[in-house]
Amino acid sequence: MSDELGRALDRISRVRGMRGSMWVSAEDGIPVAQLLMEGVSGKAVAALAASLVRKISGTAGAVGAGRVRFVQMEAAGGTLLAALAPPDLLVVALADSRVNIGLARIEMMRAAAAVAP
Amino acid sequence: MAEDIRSLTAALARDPSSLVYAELAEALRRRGQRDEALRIALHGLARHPQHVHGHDVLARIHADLGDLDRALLAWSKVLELWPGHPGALKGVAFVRFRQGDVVAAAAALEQVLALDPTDAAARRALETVRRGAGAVGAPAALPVAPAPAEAQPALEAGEAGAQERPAVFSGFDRATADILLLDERGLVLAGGLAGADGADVSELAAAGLAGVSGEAKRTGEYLSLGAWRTLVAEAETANLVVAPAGEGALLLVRRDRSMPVGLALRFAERARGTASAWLEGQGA
Amino acid sequence: MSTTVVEPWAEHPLLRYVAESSARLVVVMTPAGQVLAQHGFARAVDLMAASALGAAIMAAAGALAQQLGERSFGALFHAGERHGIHLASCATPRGPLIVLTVFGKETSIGLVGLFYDEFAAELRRAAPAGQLREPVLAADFEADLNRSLTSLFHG
Repeated sequence: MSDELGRALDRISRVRGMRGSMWVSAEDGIPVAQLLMEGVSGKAVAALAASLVRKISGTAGAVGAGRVRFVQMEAAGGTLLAALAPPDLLVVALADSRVNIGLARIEMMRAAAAVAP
Repeated sequence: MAEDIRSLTAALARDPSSLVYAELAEALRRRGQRDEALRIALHGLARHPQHVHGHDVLARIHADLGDLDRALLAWSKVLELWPGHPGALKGVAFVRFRQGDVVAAAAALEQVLALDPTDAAARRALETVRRGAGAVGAPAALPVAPAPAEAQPALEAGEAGAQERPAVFSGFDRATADILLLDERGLVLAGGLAGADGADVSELAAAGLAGVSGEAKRTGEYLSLGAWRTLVAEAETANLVVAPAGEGALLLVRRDRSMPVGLALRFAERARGTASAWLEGQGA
Repeated sequence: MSTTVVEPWAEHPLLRYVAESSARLVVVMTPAGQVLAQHGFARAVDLMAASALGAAIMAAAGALAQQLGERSFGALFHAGERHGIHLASCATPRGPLIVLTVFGKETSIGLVGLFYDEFAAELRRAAPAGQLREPVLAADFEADLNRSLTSLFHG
């Protein structure tokens, strides 16, 4: 993976509670680069995160909220985070429930901004 | 036929998320059990809002029930998902024909024939339409029409108007403009959502949210995250919080970007509690 | 548009695959292009064309793989402006099968690929051992559509 993308994933993955992070092609839902713990399916994370972001983005557009920049889904057993890096990338992170979402968000938004054209 | 319905019903009971709902709804429709067919189709489409075949079956059910407007909406949805869908184009042609718009009916059938010149049934139907227009053999005056724009749901911003809804969230800031409660079928239960121009966009938002909820549920299951609790989207002008509110209901809260996300989540949690209590009182 | 199968064991996996992937068209066929199951096709002629072309593409890709010293390629994916196609083979106790999936913008290759893996595994689990019985050509989808049209316009 490219140095820049790899360094970004490395910083994100250091946030306590992270199970993995990856760059995803937003339209195709396939991994571009990833740093995942054992047992985490990059293929599944990429496809499902991209689909979820696409769907909530549609709703956001329909209700006049504008373009989505960050998505967080909290569940009983963990959290999925995604920052949009236009035009065509997402940076996605999978974490357990104790993750500091604020810190993860900062790193992810920083990573997304760094690759923006 | 009865055996078909029995086995399809059993299959759906075994797996309520199965696409077999569409076959069952179609079988019920053909048997004349239209209300039951409608119920099955709507339930299935709530789970699978992008299912082309489901919308096609729904359109036929509405057509059988004489509800041409809803039939047209459903076929328009099919064409939105699958431009050039021959069944939907024929359905649109049928509705327009019944509504007396022979020009639009002919245009839709001509689209079918443009895609498949060998479609004898469409050709016969076009002759029927033209006879109805008193123009046998004459070419249609209009160019091939795209999926009918006028068939957009009458639920668009500015058209629906705010309906009378239970004042579940009275006392909450912007109770009927930024808080929406919908049921598992994507139908609005309470609250409301206003567009930038102040028009009610509740139903438009509700239509998309069923898909979001399903995707969140699936994501939680496949990634071993468990049941989802909240979904937050930070967007350019607003933050959205989506959360399940009990018995399949869904809550959407929209807050201005000036409100921190943490606070928006707390606000949404209060609204969810209110919604859950109200739903319980409804016997949900 | 509907789902039809020659072998009943393929039905549930196919229905599930279509539901999860949001695929528009799916054909399950033998390497010879004989259709085992399908979803979404309205006309027999389209189904036959798709299965013949899909089998031919896989055969050509297999030949190319051999040239390169590979056993086979995993899956093929082509992206179009409005549609994408995913083509892959899977081994089952009934013999090798090929699955052609056509999808639109409402889903993604990521989702199709993800749920294809599950579909292939389910086909392997569900398929009984032994030869496929003689596949029946695609059902008369057109007759059904035309019957409906006749009743709509003249009913």
